[in-house]
Amino acid sequence: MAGTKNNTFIQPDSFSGSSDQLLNDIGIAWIIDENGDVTFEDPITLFSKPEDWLLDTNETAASTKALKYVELQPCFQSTGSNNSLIPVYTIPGRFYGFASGSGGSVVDDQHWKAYLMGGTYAEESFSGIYSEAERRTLGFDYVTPYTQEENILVDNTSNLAKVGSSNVYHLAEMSDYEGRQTELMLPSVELCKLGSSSLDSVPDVYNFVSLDGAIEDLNDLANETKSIDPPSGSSGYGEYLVTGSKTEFSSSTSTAASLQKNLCYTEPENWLQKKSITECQAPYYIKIEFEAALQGSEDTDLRGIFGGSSFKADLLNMLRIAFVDSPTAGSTTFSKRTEYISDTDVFPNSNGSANLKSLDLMEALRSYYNNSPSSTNLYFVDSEDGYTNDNNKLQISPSDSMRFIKASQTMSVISKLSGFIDTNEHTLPIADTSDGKDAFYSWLINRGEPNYSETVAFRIEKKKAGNVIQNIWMFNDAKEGALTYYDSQIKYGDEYEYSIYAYTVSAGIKYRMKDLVIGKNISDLGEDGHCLQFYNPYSGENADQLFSRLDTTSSDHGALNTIESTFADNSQAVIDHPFVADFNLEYTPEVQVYEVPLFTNTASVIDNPAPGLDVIPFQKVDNSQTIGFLTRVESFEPSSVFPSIITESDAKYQEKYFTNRSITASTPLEDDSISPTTTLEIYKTLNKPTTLTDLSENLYKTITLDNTTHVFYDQVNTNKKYYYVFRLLNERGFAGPPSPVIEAEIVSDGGYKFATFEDLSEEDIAEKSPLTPSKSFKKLLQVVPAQQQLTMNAPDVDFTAPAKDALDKIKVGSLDDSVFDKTFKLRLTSKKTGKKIDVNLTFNLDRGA
Amino acid sequence: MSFLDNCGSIVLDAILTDVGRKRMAQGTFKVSKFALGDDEVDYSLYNKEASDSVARGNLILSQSCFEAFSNDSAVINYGLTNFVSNHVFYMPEMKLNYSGSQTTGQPEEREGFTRPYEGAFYLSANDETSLKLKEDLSSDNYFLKSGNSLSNKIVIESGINSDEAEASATESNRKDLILDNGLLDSYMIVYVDSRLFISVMSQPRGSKFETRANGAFLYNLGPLQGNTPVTLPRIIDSHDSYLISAADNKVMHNTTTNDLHFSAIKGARGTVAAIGLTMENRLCGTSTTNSDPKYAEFGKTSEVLFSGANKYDYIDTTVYAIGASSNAQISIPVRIVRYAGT
Repeated sequence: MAGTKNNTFIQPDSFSGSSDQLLNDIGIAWIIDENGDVTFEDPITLFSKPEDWLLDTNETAASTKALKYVELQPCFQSTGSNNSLIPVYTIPGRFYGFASGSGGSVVDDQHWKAYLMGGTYAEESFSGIYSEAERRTLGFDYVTPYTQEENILVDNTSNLAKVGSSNVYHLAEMSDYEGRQTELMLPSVELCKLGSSSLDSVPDVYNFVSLDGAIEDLNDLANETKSIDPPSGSSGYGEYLVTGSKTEFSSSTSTAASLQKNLCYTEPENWLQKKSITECQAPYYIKIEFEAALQGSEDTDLRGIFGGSSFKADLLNMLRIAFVDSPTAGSTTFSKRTEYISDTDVFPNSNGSANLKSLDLMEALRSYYNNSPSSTNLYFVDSEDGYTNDNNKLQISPSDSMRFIKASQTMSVISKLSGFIDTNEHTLPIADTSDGKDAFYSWLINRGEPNYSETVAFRIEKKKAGNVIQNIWMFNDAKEGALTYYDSQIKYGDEYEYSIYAYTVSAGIKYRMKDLVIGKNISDLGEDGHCLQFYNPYSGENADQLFSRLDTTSSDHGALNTIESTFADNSQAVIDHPFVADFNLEYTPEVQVYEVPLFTNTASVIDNPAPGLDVIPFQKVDNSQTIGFLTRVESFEPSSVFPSIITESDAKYQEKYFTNRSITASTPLEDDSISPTTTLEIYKTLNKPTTLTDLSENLYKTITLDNTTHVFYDQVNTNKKYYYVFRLLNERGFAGPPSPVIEAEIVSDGGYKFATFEDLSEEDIAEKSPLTPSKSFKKLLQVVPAQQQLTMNAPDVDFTAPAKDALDKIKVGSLDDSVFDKTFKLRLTSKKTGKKIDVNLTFNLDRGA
Repeated sequence: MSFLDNCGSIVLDAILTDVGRKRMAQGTFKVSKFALGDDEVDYSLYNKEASDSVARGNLILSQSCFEAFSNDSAVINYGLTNFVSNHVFYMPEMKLNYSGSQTTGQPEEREGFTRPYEGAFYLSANDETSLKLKEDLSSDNYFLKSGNSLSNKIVIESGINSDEAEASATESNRKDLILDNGLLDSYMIVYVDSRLFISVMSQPRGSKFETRANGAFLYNLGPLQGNTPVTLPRIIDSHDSYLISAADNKVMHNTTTNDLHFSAIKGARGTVAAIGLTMENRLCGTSTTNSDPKYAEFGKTSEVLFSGANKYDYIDTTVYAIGASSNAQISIPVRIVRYAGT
């Protein structure tokens, strides 16, 4: 089964126990049980229609038994203007209290008011179910990718995001290149593969890629990047790099760096999803790869709108302005539930919170339409309908004669988005739904369901030392498969942090209650009902009821007013229920863009360890006491793991390498060192090391190699053991596997000198853990404690006091771990028969005088 | 040493060395390296005419294998080798540089570069023998003089002996095909019979073997210097190992002169070494002294080798040279010669 990591973003006030007391009392809420599992509780499902509760004398969902029902009145829904792009609706609603005489808990009007607004009644405190706080139904599910480390643990390959570096070949000229240029003026494999037709829209970018004209035909260069073989410095892309390393860009071309701060792909499947072979072309690069169709088959309504209005490029630009350049995006806090769905239960589900940047889409469109800021840090790699040139020009000169294109496209999107809101099931006005009077309950239930959501774009953020240096924007063109960006604009060894964000649009409802008026019993009419006087609880003055009206003639419009009095007005009503309160519910459809972080990882290009070496020790057969070592570079062994470390810098390299490759110490290395082997390190010591790190201070010689074979001679004293370790370093200074520890000695046997050599592995030199000690004996065995166990220790003794007082203060033995009062087991084994006998031995300390 | 009966189903036959047994007893036995060889296989038995690949190799597969033996020099003298690079398209070879070693007249005759006579390099035991050999062979270039650092030497070259254009003797090919692949034999291991020789001499540091930009050939491989034997593993019993440095061989292809006149290697060249041999003193006595018994034991005495009446004691032996990086090998037949009178 393919694994997924499902995240549910929930409005925090949708949880049981939140500030929404109405939700708490009704019980339609997310709950966290004692096991930490999050589930959505919907007691309403027990009933076909909540409004039936009004007819049922005993039923209510409210836990306090104070509230019987919340009813909305679609007939009286109103809006300021039907022509508004995002209408704001007002609809009256009514709370029905559950009287104590009918099985409920509301005793009287004071009790009812306290329950509604908060306060104390008969020593009982209420938080108040009525709140004018703004609530939202917005919440959505989102699938985020597994990291490579997680993927290894769950043993599946679905929805994987990877950021990893590759060092393909060595090109010495790159060092000079990097030293002179900023990252964004380093050669870009992704730009090179575009060809002239996609690059000629902005001269500076064209000149940058063509090395200020040194490359005459960019299409040839694009073809070069499709070559399979790794290039060399004398041909293909390698030659391009060598030429570039010597190019002093003109000042105007240098602005290409600024333009590349935001690279935009409106049709990434054309450039980032093709199986083009770019991997071999750059000497080193960082590859960012993630699944585009993370969510599976999402709806495509909004992307259809953007595409249909030729607005993809503008969408990316709008998101750039709102989320990155001039951040107007707000922030929304969600509760976040993450579930790992896989065959193995490696990761427990987790609950937490997530603070997502959010943007009101319609407001953003309006702002984008009204404002046309000039942008010099944006480059459209492509645009739909052949508008690449115009889009690029318009960013730099918004008042260009082609600006009508942008205005037309934006208006088209706004218009279509308005239509989307009017028809989408999650944003429909209550009057247009079948929920009718139960709509309030439907909204609460909606909080447990994912709203409409659609991923419209992705962004790869590239950071160095905490500073954002580039963003890659991609319209989500709903094509399945991985999006892969090869970042060759990096400097060797520097660490870069890549974060991938999804921009997902969610549609729902924003609402709040207001204008509360409470009914106060002024007369009990018996079977005819209750005569209520509505009043404003804040001012105490009488106020018109909202849910029903004096002139109501249809029962569909709320309870009929049966008061027959010329003095009666709309603030009085005769109702079957003794406790009611009216309010206006103001709500509006909302379409928000959320920035969902998918994945963050750091990467740096780091070479593989240097190769291992074969060391053959020998002696010169003369009287010179010279030993020699013939060292030969070994070929790469694919099953080899990261080499053992000796120095602190090795440890740092190891840590960085493991992080970069997402591997562990037991993972076989995939590749050999890319940079050439240049140095031989020789460690030498007279003391037998117990670990290789013991040698860190014993670097004896560092030899620059000009060949893979080297002979090292050393003169030594006779009858002394020397310990040698050899290892190779590549040009980047990364060490390979050390040789075994070679124990070398020239033995002088009466003047005849001969050498002995022994290879000691790390296991051989490691200090052995103490074995069970054993002694041979014949007939008698005496066991006595060690001397340190028997010395008298009297630090606390007052020698001026009588001796009897000091007796208890004298300690026997100076060791912390005393043998006294402990039992030891001795095993006696016969050498002849092998028979064994165990003796238990206890050392007793006798303090008797 | 014996052969395995391969009619059974033996897949792997292994015995442990002393060190292996020790490690096995300690529980730390672990195979970290291994060597493969097929010295006992006669590949001339491969039947190219057979109908299918199985039949073609049947004779080879039916041969018996050596049983496992703990002496590493006993069963693998010509082992398989591995290389640092995965891009080795041309294997270096070792070639002897003497007039006609490549083709007739190539390389050219060069003073001090010993030529073999009838397949063997003659090594003169003493000055008396040298005079007689010069009479009999009509040339100084056909023999070496024992322990003489200024006279003739055997010149060994290492490089790509291919006449393909891709491997031609250019600086870039030398780098791409030899240096970058870790195949530059900057050291050679020379094995000589320790019963006959006490030293191997080689060219000094700073030796030259190169062509200039104008195509002129510049070489200087002397005077030879003595080397001490080392305890590197021997490939044959009773042989001493000598680790000698080799000089860069920078004879390049050029348009003005024919580089094949200077070098025995057709393609990119790596290194060159010049060696001389020093015999046991006992073997160097003049004809007025008794012939050392080794001549009788290992060779022949008082034999007429040439058309004249001069008689010689001689021993035929072989000197082996192996490139320390490429593992390219060459066997050099040497005839130790002592004038024994008429």
